[in-house]
Amino acid sequence: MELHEHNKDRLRDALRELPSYEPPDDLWQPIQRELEEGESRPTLERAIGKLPEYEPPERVWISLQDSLQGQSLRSRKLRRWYPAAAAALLVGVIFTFWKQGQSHSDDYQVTTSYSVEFVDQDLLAPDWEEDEAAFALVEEWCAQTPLLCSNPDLQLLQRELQELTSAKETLVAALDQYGNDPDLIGQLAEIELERTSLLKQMLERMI
Amino acid sequence: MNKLSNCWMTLLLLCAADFAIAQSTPMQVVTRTVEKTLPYRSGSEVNIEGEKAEIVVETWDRNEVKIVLELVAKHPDRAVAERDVKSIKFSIDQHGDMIYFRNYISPDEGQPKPESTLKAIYTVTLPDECPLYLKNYFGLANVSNLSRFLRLRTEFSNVFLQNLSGDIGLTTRFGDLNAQGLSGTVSIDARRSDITLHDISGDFDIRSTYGIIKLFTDESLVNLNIEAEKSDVYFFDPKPGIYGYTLTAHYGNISVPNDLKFNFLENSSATKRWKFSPTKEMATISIKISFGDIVIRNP
Repeated sequence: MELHEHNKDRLRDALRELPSYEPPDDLWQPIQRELEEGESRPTLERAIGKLPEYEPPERVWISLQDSLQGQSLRSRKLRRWYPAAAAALLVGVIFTFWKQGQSHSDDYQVTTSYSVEFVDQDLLAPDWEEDEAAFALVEEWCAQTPLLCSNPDLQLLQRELQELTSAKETLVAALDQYGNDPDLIGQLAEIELERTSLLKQMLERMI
Repeated sequence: MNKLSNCWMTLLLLCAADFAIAQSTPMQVVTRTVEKTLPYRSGSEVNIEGEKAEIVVETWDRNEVKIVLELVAKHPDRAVAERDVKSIKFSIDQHGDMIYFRNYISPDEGQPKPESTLKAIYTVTLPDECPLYLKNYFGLANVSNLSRFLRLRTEFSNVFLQNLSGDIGLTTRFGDLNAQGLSGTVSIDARRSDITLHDISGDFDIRSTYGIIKLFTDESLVNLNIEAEKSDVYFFDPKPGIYGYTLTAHYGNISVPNDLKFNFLENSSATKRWKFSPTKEMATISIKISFGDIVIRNP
């Protein structure tokens, strides 16, 4: 923009001589938080949404084009720096995203509380492996005498049993990882009931 | 006399309570609660990935997504519970329009394997139009009042849904699904899960293996397509005669109200294919099962 001022040189000098101050670092953080999460954010977004859009006049594009053509010779020399510049830019973008994630992750409100519950340990006693011998026995019979288990019905039951046994193993592993949780033990009990029912059906067909 | 018997009763109850406590072990419960509110913009979506988690999702009228995440460790020794609660890791992140909530178990370096009983409890509140992707392993999910989009995938978790509409896709394995008030385009893929749906309307596509499916409608506008294997299907409606039915059972039975005159396209012991077209068809019910029964009934 052109300055319409009679003593513009003096004015420029005076402006240049004005002292400059940096605000303290801790000023920016509350402003950023207010912009990102504060109550004024929806108002701000609405206001941004309402801002008018303008097309730049034709002469701006022409002037841009001219200045770019003028730089074409210099840009050829710069081309070999493009990969390095692109890599630096990429690192910058990744760092910015990482910083964004960090900044959102850093300001949690965390509180710790304590209480006491009474739990009947007898109910949580791990007794789910006690009858595995019976299941192993049926598998052993099928392995030793394949004809005994050749019946398609029996094979279907066997496959179903294998799926449930696999689910049981998943739950036992979960109990090991998350502790003796009553909900997990409840699910395990349901699976054990189904497995027992399947075992009985298999035995009926084998005998 | 009355006063005396009251005293005895009180004493007896106190003794019983004392005995019950004496049989139990006191567990020290340490809970770390994390709270955060994130800005929501139209087009944002929320992803929740829980492990051993109870996840509750509710809606509100604010343009924000709030999470209250409780990380709980229980052990008879408080010091152990305090140590183990730190092994429940979590992340709350927002990258552009994507909001991610996640927890998993991982002890800090040099720390032993957790000995406490661990769980995470999520309470997430978001705008009803916010699309939600939810995954959970070992726990439960309770989602209500979403109006646009839900994708839910759970294993070993019970699922409770209330008043949901829009595009809904549910995949569940080893965990029951209970829903009240589902409408829109609904797809359910269930294995080893019982499904109970009340007050449904819209287009439903249900695939089930090893489960009991119970559907309760009340003269609803519902197009229902069920394919089930080793499962029983129950369809209850006060006026079952207003729907058109195509029912197929391989190695199973079909039971329908006596006053509905079905056409038996096929009726052998191995395969039954029955069809019913009412005078004024409100919606269509197509059920295809193998190794299971179909029951259409007026409740």
